[in-house]
This record gives sequence, C-alpha cells and structure tokens, in this order.
Amino acid sequence: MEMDTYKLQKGNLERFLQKLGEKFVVHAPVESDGVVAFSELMPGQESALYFPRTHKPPKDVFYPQTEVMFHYEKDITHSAEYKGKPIALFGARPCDAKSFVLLERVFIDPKYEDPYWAARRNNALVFSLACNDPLPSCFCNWLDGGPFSNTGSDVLVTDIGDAYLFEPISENGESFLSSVDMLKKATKKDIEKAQNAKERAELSMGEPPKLDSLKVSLDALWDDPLWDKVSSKCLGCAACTYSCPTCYCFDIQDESRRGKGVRIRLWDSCMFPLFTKEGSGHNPRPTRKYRLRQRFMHKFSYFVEKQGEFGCVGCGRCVSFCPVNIDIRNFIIGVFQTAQGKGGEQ
Amino acid sequence: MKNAYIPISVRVKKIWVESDDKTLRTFDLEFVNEADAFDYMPGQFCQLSIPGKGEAPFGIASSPTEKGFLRFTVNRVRVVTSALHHLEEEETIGIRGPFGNYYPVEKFRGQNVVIVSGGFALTTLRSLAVYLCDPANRGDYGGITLIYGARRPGLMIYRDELEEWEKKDDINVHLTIDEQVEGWNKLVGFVPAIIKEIAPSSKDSWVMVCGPLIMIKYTLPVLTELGFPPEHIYTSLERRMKCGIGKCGRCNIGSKYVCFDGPVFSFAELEEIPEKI
Repeated sequence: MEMDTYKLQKGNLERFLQKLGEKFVVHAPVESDGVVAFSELMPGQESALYFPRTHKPPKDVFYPQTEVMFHYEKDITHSAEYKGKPIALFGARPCDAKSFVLLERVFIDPKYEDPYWAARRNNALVFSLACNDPLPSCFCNWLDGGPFSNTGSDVLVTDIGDAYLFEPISENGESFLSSVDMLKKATKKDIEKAQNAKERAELSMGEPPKLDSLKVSLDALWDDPLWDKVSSKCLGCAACTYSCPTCYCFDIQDESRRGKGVRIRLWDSCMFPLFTKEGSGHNPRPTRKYRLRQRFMHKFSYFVEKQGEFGCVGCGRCVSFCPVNIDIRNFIIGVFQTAQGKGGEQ
Repeated sequence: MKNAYIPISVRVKKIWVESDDKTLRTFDLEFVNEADAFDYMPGQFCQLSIPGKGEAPFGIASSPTEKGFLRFTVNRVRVVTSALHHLEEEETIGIRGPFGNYYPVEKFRGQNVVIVSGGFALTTLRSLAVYLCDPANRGDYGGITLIYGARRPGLMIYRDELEEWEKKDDINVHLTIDEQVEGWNKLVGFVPAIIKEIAPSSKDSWVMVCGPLIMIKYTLPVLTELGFPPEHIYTSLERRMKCGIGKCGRCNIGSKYVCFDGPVFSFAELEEIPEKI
C-alpha cells in the first residue's frame, strides 16, 4: 500500500510534539552542558534537532545505561520492568534507527527474551530525522545504510527548509500520522525537495568500499601483526563502546543495605580487563590487543555469523571520540590491504 | 516468556565440606515451591544468586534421574562463593537456570563412554555418570569408564560415592593421585599417563574430558593417539559470565557464547574457533 507523505510547518513542531506526548513519552535530542543526548522532552523544552549526531547514541532510551532489574527484600523479588506509557523517539538519525534492529536481534531471540528491553521497545514509535549534511566521520553508506535510510524507523522525517516532511514507513507510523490534524499532505514539489536533499547527501558521502569479503579477510588475519599495530595506541578507555549505538554488553551488580536492595544492570565494555577476568585470576583477554580484536571481530565477524549482518551502523561516533584517533574505517581498509598483500605473497 | 533474570527460591537442604583443605563445599538444594522445579540435563549449569552479593555460575552435579534435590560443589574464590560457603542448612538463596547445552547423550546410544576428569571439575561429569548408570538408561549404553585424578586423596571430590562405584560392575572406575601417599592403594600418576596405561578403545567410543587446562592440554594428544577423532572428544568450558542467556556479551570464544552455545563443545567445534580456550 502506498502511504501518503505529510508536511509540518516548522513553527508547528512544538504543537506536534505535544500531540505526540498525549499518547507517548517523547524522547528527543536535548542539549545540556554542551552535550547532546536523548532525554524525555519536558513541556516547553526545546529539542536539539539542529544537531547532526547526538554525542550519546539513543540506545539508552530502550536500554538505559543503568537500570534496576528487580528489587528484593529478603527472599521476595519484585521485577522492575518499565510500565510507563509507550515511548516515542523523535529525531534519531537513520544510523541510530538501524541500531535498534540490530539490538533487537540480540535482546529478543527465540529462546530468551529480554523483558526490560521488550517493555520499552514494544509499542514504541521511532521518528528518524534524515541527514541532509552527513559528517566527515559518517560511514553509514559502507554498511547498507544511508543518510536517508529508513531501516528501523516508523516515520522518516526530512528537513526541507521551512517545513518537515513526514514519510510513514510502518503501519504504526502511518496510523499515528493520519490521526494528527495539523499535518498536511505534502505536495509534489515538497517531495522533490526531499529527493534533492537525499541525492545531495548521498553524493557528499562518496563511493563506499565493498565490504562483502571483510569477514573472510578478518577471519584469516586472526594472528596477524595488524592487531599489534592497531592496538598499540589504544588506551582501553572504552569511549568507543559507550558511544556506540550497537554495543550492548552489560554487567549485573547488586546494591543492598540491611537485607533490602536492588539488582541492577549497567553498560559494560569489552575494552576493560575486568570484563573477562575470572575468579581464579586468569584472564582470557589479557592485553588491549586481545580486547580490541574482540571488539572489531565482534562487529565484523561474530555478529555476521550470529545475526547475518555487520554489527556496526557506521555512525562514526567511535571515530570522533577516540582520544588517540583509532579510525575503524582505516582499520577496515588496512584489513583489505593486508589480506591482499598476503594473497599476493602466496 | 518468563523473565530469565529473576532467581527462583531454593532452600539449602544439606551442606558438607568436600575437600580436606575446606575450599570445596557441596550443597544439596530443594525448591521452596515445588511448582518452580525445572528439568535439566547433565552438563547444564545454573546461576546461584545471593541477594546483595551477586551471582556466579556452577555446573549442576546432580543427575536429572535423582529426584528432590539439585547438587552443586562450590570452590571458594571471592565474594559470591565465600557467601555460599557461609550458608547454613535451611537458609534460602536464589537460582536461575538451567542454562546452556548438555553432554550429547543421544549420540552415545549403543556406544561406550569414557569420562576423564581432574580436580573439582568432576561436577557435571558426576551428573553424566549417574545419568548413564541409572537403571532406566544403563541398557542404552555400552561400557562406561571413569578416569579421575586429584593432587592427593583429600582433594578428591565425591570420594565415598566413587569408592561405592568401584564395587559396581556397570562402571569401570580408575582413581589416581599425583604422588604416592601412605594408605593409598589405587593408581598413582597424572591423568594423561593413566589414560595411556588403561588405553580405552576408541572404537564406538566417546570421551568427555573436564579438568584444569594443563590436564586437558596433555590429555588430548593421548586420546588422539588412541584413535579418538576430535568429533568424539567433548569438554565443558568456563568463562566469566553474567546473564547466562547469551546477551551480556562477555563469555564468548570467537562467535560462540559459552553460556548459550556451550558450555559443552566437541574439540572438532573448538578447532574451528581461532580464539584459544
């Protein structure tokens, strides 16, 4: 079914978000102390839609950085799954919207469903905002994404100057949009403007390298000195994993006082030695080389094996935030060059 | 689907000290509510949970053929295991599971099974031995051999039970210690050397081997020499774990999660994974 595209004058955005807030808890990018991250949009608060890519990825909307799993008192436990209104995420970028599809495969599998993820993610609406001006660190187009990709979105929003276009992607998106009176049907000219913006944005990102053979090349380079080279400047700070929209590893900890307490889960990172250090003192990943290899292999080999595609959406945050400029794109190119070099020698 | 992170209440039915250095204790647990009882298979593990202290994974040492209790043997290492060692009978704790896969007992049908173990890694292999030797199952399998070594007699777990098994004719038990001590009238020598001596036939046979890495390292070549293909040699792996359900991301070896795809792997599977065990 062909669904109508809608249009909202920019001046009406606040009213639209209020309307959205009647049914949903609205999360949008908000600037605070120079950091732009997603948080619940309070009445009258301005969203930072002008910002190209939030510092913190929006995964914490569905998967909070710290989250109570259950409360307990002696032997009695009370699960603390989210019970609030459905969540609407407004202004996620296409890369981040795609990350939800990848995370969903981890949290919801045929054998085990993560109830904390499901409670927030189910019935949520994702309005993603297309990127008219991709950043130099962006590489979503390497990974089957693009600045106007709609994977993981219910509605794709495009800034066309004085207005936003709302293109429904899912039926849930369409059914919400069709219930909002202030939206007008977009004209042919509006749609043309969006189409032009899309072409411009895609062109600006250049031609991506083909990653079809990346997994095979990586698997063949398990013991290659390449890993020593790329990890030699890694500080193990975990800026990459905390800013990554698809990193999902977590720790579970207890906090208690006098028989009462909570079990919480927190984002964790494969960059930390304690991540795998065992009770005996043995650590199967003893150095930063092992840990960095784990991160890159997980994204570009293990995730492919388990979930059928790369565990990276090319948002470029790790490229921007790495304090020693480890650029995962250069690493990928390096893998191809090394693999080719090896092939040539044989 | 039920929330797999919420522990179920179990009561400590019985506790005893398992080793003379007192670092190992065995716990028999029973469900507070019988309705919570779960089915499991030899080789699976559970997370034992102590509110305020946390959780740790342990292989189930009882067999599903033994009704009314779940058995675990716990080595005291740090926070959770120390808290477990301080438990008293009748106290309640939490349990989650059973998690992971199990020893491929379906593949053993009509075949011989050799169980090789060292130190306190006997836990899930005890479960397997009891399962295979259960009167309801014993007829389905050929010869069952157990080769078990410990540094000294006092560190040998389930010793009374093993000595009972020595008298039975449905399982061949070979117990060994590293060096001769007074009063020991069984085998002396490291596990790999003992396997070489006993030389179990690899024909229609499967080996399950669990123990310290160093034991496994020297056992594998002996088994290969005896003609066991890697597809017929299985082990159970350990890694630091949190969730137990393949989500928290830390226990992987290559693309396999030990908690979800394992903990039981054949060496043929492990050879495919470049990351070392």
